[in-house]
Amino acid sequence: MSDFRYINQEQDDNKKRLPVIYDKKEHCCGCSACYSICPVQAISMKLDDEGFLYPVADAEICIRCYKCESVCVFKADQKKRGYF
Amino acid sequence: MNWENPKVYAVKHKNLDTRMESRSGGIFTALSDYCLENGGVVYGCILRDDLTAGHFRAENKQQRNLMRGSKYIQSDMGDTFKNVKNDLDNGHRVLFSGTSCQVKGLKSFLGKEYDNLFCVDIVCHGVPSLAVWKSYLDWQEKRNGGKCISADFRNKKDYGWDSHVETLGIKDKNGKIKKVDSEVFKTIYYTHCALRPACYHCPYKSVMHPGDISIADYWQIDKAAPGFNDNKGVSLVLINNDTAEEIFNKVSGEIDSVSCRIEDSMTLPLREPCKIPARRDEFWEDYHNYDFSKVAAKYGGHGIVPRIKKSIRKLMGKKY
Repeated sequence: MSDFRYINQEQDDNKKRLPVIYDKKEHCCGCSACYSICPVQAISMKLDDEGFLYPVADAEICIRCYKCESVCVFKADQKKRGYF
Repeated sequence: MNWENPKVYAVKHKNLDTRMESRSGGIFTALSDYCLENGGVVYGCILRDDLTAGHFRAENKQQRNLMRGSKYIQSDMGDTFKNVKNDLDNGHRVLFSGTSCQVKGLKSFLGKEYDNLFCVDIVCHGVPSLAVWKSYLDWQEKRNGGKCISADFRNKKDYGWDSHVETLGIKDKNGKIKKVDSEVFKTIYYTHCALRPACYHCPYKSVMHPGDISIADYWQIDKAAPGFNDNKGVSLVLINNDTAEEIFNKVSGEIDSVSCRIEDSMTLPLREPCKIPARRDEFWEDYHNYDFSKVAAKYGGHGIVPRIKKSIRKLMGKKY
């Protein structure tokens, strides 16, 4: 099964790792901060099969600046609260 | 900077029409009126023409009025965060309303404090699935032979503030609009099976929220302020910092308010997130594999069999 979090991974030849905006779905609230901060519009918000919006990063467009990772305050706040 | 503990008020807008158009006691209207009257813009969630929820920018009261009322689905933010930043950088006063995670996400995106930003935090139980909402609408359209053109997630005018009946407007091919009252979507919602996975691990379920002011239905009102409740709607208002207190004082002429104790106001989302129901996986399996009528019967209390089962279980003193 392909990874729902990315598109165009096959065409991508960048050696640097792709950003991990979320690892499991329970760590993404769909607030759109990552989508909004991406300087190259590599992220789009797409509905999953349960009908919730999640960020999807285009591997070909992504410049690996990782701003999407650092802007994610939801995960950080979950950690602070001791949820994982 | 938010305080360590909020100041708590029960609030009713003085204008009864305003209150009847609002989900709770109309505090959002009072706060957003103040913002608009001072040249600001208001961001909030509206139910769009296709009956999905999305964030929207209002420059006047007419546009703002679309944001009143509750929506039991998650708002599509679109380019809202970027538009808010643009407005703030251009010196506009901005009132942003949204769930705690949207408020916190916006603040993180902005990356710095803005004196011209005021955040209204909508106390939230967790957001249900848009897919389930759409399937529910399709199912109602088929049953009622028409197109759904309006939805009131909680029909307060006909049933009172404390009730929870959804009312749909369904237009048939002759253009006649039929009102359909139902409790199926509400009942599915309360199973908590259709909530976003992250909501079961929401880090904002506490007395203090990320916004300047937090607002909710005041379900503990009869304990917190006996005699204040007229079943037309009371807002629970939590003032989280100095800025919020200043603005709350500015709108005091528009509202009736009474100071309450936080201990008497502890609704579930001020304590902890909803637990993942044991039936969640089963729910989604059923949803993906069967017609919605089965989901409506099994989880939405639709039809005669679930009603009889429910009555028997109630008689036997069982919760489920």
